[in-house]
Amino acid sequence: MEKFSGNYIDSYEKKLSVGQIYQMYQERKVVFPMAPLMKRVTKIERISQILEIILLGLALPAVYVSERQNGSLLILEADDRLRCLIEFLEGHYPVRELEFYPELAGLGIEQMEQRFPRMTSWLYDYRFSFQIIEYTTPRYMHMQMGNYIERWNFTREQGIRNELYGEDLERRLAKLEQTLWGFSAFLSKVSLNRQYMILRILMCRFARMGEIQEEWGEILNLQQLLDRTAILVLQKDSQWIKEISDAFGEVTGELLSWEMRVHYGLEREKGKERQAKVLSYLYNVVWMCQEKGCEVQWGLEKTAWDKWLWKQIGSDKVNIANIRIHFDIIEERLR
Amino acid sequence: MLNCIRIQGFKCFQEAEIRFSNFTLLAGKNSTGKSTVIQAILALYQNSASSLAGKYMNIGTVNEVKNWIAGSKKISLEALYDYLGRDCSYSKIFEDEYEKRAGTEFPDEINVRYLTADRIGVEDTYQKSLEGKDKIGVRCEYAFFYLAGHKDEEIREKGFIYDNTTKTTLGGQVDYWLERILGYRVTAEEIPGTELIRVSYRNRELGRDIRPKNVGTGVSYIAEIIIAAFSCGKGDILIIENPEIHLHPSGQCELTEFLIFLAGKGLQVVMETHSDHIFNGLRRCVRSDRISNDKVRIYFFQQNEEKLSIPVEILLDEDGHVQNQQDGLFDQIEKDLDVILGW
Repeated sequence: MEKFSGNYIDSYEKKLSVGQIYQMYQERKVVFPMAPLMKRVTKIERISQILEIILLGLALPAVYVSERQNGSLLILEADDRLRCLIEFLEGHYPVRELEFYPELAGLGIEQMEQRFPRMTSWLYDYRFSFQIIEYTTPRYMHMQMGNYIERWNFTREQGIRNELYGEDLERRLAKLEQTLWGFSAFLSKVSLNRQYMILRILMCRFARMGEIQEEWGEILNLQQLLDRTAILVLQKDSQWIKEISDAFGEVTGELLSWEMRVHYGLEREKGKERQAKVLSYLYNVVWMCQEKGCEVQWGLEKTAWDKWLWKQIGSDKVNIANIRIHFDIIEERLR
Repeated sequence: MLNCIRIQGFKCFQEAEIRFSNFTLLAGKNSTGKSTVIQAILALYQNSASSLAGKYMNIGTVNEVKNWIAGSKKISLEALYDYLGRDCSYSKIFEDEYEKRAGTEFPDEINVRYLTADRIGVEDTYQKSLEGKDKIGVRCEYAFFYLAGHKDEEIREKGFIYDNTTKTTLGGQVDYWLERILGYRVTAEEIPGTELIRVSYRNRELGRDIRPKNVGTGVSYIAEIIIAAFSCGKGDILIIENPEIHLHPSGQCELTEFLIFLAGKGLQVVMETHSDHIFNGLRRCVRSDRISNDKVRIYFFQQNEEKLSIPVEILLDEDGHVQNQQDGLFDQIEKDLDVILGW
């Protein structure tokens, strides 16, 4: 247990056999944040690798796991290793020819059980080490895992966030994300990635409008800001969701027509950090122009091409003080 | 819910009627009848060949426990309880070595969990029960086995979950209360290939596992009570003797809050105590509206000149003030202060 920013990170280790994990998966006591985004051939390759490691009796690295309120375990792995193994156990995929066990080539779990029961029991008895982050740990610290250990992309991070914050957040973000369908070519096609971008845009909006505040001496980092944003989204009523949904649609339209005219490159580094930063500020620039009653396209021109500003935004850490400084500069440019 | 017990000719009682509520506290000097009331409940609840000797208690033969001061020829015990909105009664009459039962037995759905004062306390390892995962044992000897087997499961009685920020598993709720009362969390796990359960405690400040012998004795005792309480459900009866054992006054007060919380959620708690901190903790809960005074009953047991026990019901008002203070009812501190201060 360690302490960070006044909060504790509680964690413990638990060893679970493949058989136990599979049973828990069937009982929804082990859950995965998202279906793996990989081709069938890649999946078979990954299954074959892990099966060979298990049969050789080698130790695999600890699997990081987030404990949920009802005690179920959310798997935080970035490489979908365990997820692929579960899909093998469900009988969806066979293994390719293995270097040390060529006799298993092309077999699915059922055939393996019939023809090689001893090997199958090795597989079911193999124990994974789960490093469990307890429910009592603040949720943003569960999310911080992605930066510290697992190296998640935004899609995975948002999948995990939706599982941790509950269906309601996912439903609300999905509703906002749906308004962008069809006319937001610069966004990723993957829903979870778009939901992440929406959360980042809202984070900047809430910070700009003072809805997210820091306590005296507190410095909120990106994950803490996203945590506060998610909580605020959950607290908003359906009228707000409708209004912000309309606002997203309108701003997206403005940005798209501006992009088509000036070819700024909104789609650059699609779904990645740079795009998250660019979009979270430009959406807010449009909202600021609307609030001030100035011409949106003019506002975009005045800010989007300001190299010095974007260099600052790119290099500054994401925290509330910096966001406020950036918006003060934008405010100046819009005068 | 158990509403009333009527006792005739049993140990120190010639005749007594004790009424119960969601939370019932039994107090008084030693050998004045507190445990006898609990034994009367258990004698009615345990339906072994002899109701005086069974899994909850073994207090000997009828001749040994008849009221010999009053020369009682027989023992009569009667319980009045309600079940599914119906008023029921169940009685047992003991004469010589014969036992006559009448009325409606306690249904299986009403589970009585009895924790004796002689609880197991601090061990590095605890035994598994051979009778299954759901046993706690009157000495709480299987409490940690119960925890190991159920810690990751959602708590049996959803209404007992403290609030929506706490984990809904047994382990989560036990940790929440143990940490709140004494600042520790507990882990219980089977030692593979043995019949033993290993227990360790964690403290947030130290950040490491500590074996039971290296934490305060009260931590193990309180953990056992918390686990036992969570093994119950709504409508069950939890009987605890002297929960204050090894506990600091502040811990006693917090423990009372815990049990009051469960009593408010439908667990019937019957507690015997010598602790003024528990008594005052209960009054504090009434004062702060954790429980209303009509859901609390307090009995103070006294002896008359013939050494027969007389239960006196102590009344609390809505602010937790005692309405009928008795000599000897948790007033020792005042008597001592009078001497110390020379008044």
